Amino acid sequence: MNLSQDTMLPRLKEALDKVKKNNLDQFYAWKIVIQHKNSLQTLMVGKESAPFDKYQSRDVLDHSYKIDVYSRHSEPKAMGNASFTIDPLSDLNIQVEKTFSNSLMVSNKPWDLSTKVNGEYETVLTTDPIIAENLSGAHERLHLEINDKVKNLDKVKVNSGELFTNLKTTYFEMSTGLKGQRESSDIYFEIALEKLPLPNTQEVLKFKNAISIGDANLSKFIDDIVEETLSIKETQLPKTSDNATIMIDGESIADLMQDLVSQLSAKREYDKTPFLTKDDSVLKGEKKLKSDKLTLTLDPTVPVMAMTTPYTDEGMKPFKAKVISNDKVNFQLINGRIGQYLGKEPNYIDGNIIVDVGSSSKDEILNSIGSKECIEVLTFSSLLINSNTLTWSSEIKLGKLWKNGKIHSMIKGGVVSGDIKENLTNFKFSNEITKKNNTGGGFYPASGYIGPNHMLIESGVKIAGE
Amino acid sequence: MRPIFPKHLQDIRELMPKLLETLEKGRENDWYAFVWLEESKEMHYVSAITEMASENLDRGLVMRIFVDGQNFEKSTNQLNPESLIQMAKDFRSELDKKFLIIESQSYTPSSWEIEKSNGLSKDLNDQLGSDLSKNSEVHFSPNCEINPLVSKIERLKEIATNTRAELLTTAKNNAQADSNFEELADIRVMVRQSVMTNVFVDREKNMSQIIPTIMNYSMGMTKSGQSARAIAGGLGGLELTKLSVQDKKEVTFRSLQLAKAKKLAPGRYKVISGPDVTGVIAHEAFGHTQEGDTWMKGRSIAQDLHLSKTKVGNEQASIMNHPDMFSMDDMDHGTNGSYFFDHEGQLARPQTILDRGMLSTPMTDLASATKLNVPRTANGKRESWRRPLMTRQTNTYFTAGDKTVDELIGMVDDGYLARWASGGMEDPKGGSLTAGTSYLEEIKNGKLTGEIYLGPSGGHVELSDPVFTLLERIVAKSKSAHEDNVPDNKLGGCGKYHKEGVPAGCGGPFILWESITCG
Repeated sequence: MNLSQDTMLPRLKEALDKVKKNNLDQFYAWKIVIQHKNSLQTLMVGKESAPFDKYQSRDVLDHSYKIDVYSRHSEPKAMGNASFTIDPLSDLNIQVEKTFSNSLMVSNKPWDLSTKVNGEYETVLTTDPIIAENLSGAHERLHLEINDKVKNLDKVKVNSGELFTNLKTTYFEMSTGLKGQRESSDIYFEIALEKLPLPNTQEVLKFKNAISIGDANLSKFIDDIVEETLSIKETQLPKTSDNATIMIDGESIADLMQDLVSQLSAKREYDKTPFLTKDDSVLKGEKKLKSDKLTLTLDPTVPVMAMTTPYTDEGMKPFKAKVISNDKVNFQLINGRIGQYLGKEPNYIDGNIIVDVGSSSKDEILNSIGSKECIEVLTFSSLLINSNTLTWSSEIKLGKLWKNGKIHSMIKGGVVSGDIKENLTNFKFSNEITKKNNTGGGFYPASGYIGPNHMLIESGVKIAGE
Repeated sequence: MRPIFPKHLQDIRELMPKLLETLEKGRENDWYAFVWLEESKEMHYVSAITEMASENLDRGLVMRIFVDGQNFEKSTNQLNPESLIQMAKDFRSELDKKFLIIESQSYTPSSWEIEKSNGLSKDLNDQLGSDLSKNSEVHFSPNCEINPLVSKIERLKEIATNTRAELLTTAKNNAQADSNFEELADIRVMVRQSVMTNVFVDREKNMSQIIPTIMNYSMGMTKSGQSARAIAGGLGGLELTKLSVQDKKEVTFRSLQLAKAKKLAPGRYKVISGPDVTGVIAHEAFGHTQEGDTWMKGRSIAQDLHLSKTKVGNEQASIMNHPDMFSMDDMDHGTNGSYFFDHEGQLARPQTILDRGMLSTPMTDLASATKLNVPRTANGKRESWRRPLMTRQTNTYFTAGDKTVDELIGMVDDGYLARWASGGMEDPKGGSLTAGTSYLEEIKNGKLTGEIYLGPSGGHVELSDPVFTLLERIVAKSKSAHEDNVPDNKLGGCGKYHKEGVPAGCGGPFILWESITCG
């Protein structure tokens, strides 16, 4: 789909240019974003040893237009910007006038929008060709894969599932001359199941976000969840502890790293919220000798990942960089606007989080702590991370208590909390690599993670329990 | 005044019965169809170091056919009549081919006559005309002092800018008056107005509603990242944006205090929850557990507990699901979980989902009510026309008690007050819950000491316990000033498990809990 041929585009440009012409002294620039999205959504309810029953099947067509208007006004000069989602059935001139007028209300420090790209956009793979070619065929294929697996499960009861297959094309054009288009696919699948016989009070609910059918590997995903479900035994509360040892999985490591990386944004420095800058340590407290060190790269070019993109929000080419090396910050993330604000050279670093793995397997790490108790958190109820203080906490929905390299008991309940910077003073990453994607929307920003699948944390964790 | 139906949606409203006819005519005995239109107009202004203005319009239409217990939907924002008519024809043709023979009986919607005979609250009844028929265009909207349909973003800017200027001055004075405190890094004020207009058309009803909500969200933040917030707003117009004296103190003083706060030792403590935290506990405790689709999937412990008539809380444990809540405590407005009908056209009526420890039948949407063979309630909601419909909460709250807040505090020898919520999560199968609070205020010997505590790691405090244990430990509740005893409810939002965000008010009285795990 080529959205540069959208029939609304010339009409929108005409309306924007008309308002610009009438307000040459104040109208600075515009940006148009056109988005076309198809989504197939299936909600399912499970039965024992049978395929899912569908109870909701949806087909969504979403085609939308959004504009941004930038103005320069007042003395001393201020810059205004306002965005507006366009109603294609209403008068475009009125909507553009309104957006321009809104921009005049905003008084930010002026910055220059770029008139040319900092290099040529790279060709990156953001779409599964199978989904791009036939969305409904791909959705059906995934549905069959899920049902083939689910109907043969006899030791667990599958309670419910959700499958969303999406294909989106986004086009942008700016009055400064920048323009680009990207297509992206994504799959969301969630499944809830419990161990037989019924009744029981332990359910495992897991979800997977992926860009391609191959990466989703839903059969393997279901196998892994079944294995986890079958391992559930009687649970007990964790013991209250001021210095607990825990192990978390790749999903949670990705979440912690996402918030740590957010502090590298130079925008935080400008906004006076807590931030990390070049040569800062990511640690709080003394580093333990036996601890691994954190090395983290951002990469916008990894094929079929959620943060893979040919261009940034400003329309510039994004760059890969090792932003944290051996616990020390190498680079802040500086875009064009904030670079000008802070007098720093923009580097347009962006992309998926790639974390260097450790040298030992999960089992070797658990064996290495001997008789010390370690709670492996299988599922947090809701891991809330404060991106300002870099502290986190959650109830433990399900965990395993390890001792001497063996599972001692299952854990449920209690509250575990920590401080990321303290955690990084004494940790070990496993050498097993995992890949996680979150395509964003709703409550979470988009994120991509490739890195260790386990992290042992021996400092900065507290538990309220028994 | 009550906002009237906007003229610009009249043409599409008149098209909707024609779309319905295309979807349903000749197969009314086989399936049930409706057409749903939603328009969301949102504008907000942020006054902070970096200012921001934004206006968004989102409009979409959903065509639904419910057949053999399944919902089929086509939805789009391509709203020109020709493409909608074609979409309806294609949809009908697709289902005609798919469902040559129907296995289960079709759903029959209720007429206005039946609805009235079943009883409706005053706010709905007052807006029904006489001589109601299936073709009558019925419109509902809440009472507002200032008409939200004519609000301008300029006014939002004025409120946000003035609020921030006043708060910054106060915060600066606070920091200068006490050398222990640093100056705040920033105060961020966002004023946001959202106006949702819905039209629902099925074979018995043609009705619309306007749901306006307004919010003034003000937050002070220190350089170390500690923050405190205050929120004013609710269901209505700009008249609801004023921060109270207590709110202003929270933003300007509490954030400074938090930068110096002590850390709580993890453990079990006697806690009083304020309406904000009480509401999250209600929402997470037997709110999610009492959602019909969760029952339908076998994912809730509540179904067995209801059938076995097991008591799950003490005599003080009563929770309401109250969609038609248009006044509360001493306020004559509702909150953002209020509406007149849900997203499947079910008219709003209150329901007691937990009555002195005993569970009722669940809140439902059409599919779960049909599958479970339980009454329908007005809880069918969706994030937007883009997303699937599920059983969702409206306003969920603990019923009020008979104590004053001071009396409750006086009952605590050693414990804490949790006033501000900070997230929460349900576990409908496992029966546990977690509710966050931004910080705890210390109570000693029946009095607030002025000391505040952060969580053990310096973040917010999580309150967590098995639900049954918790609901057995309600000691006492504060009273409400409302004529029907409806307590204070707060603006809230809910993501079911982790997605599908919808507005969901929640609240209740101040509640004294015998003990809760805090970490």
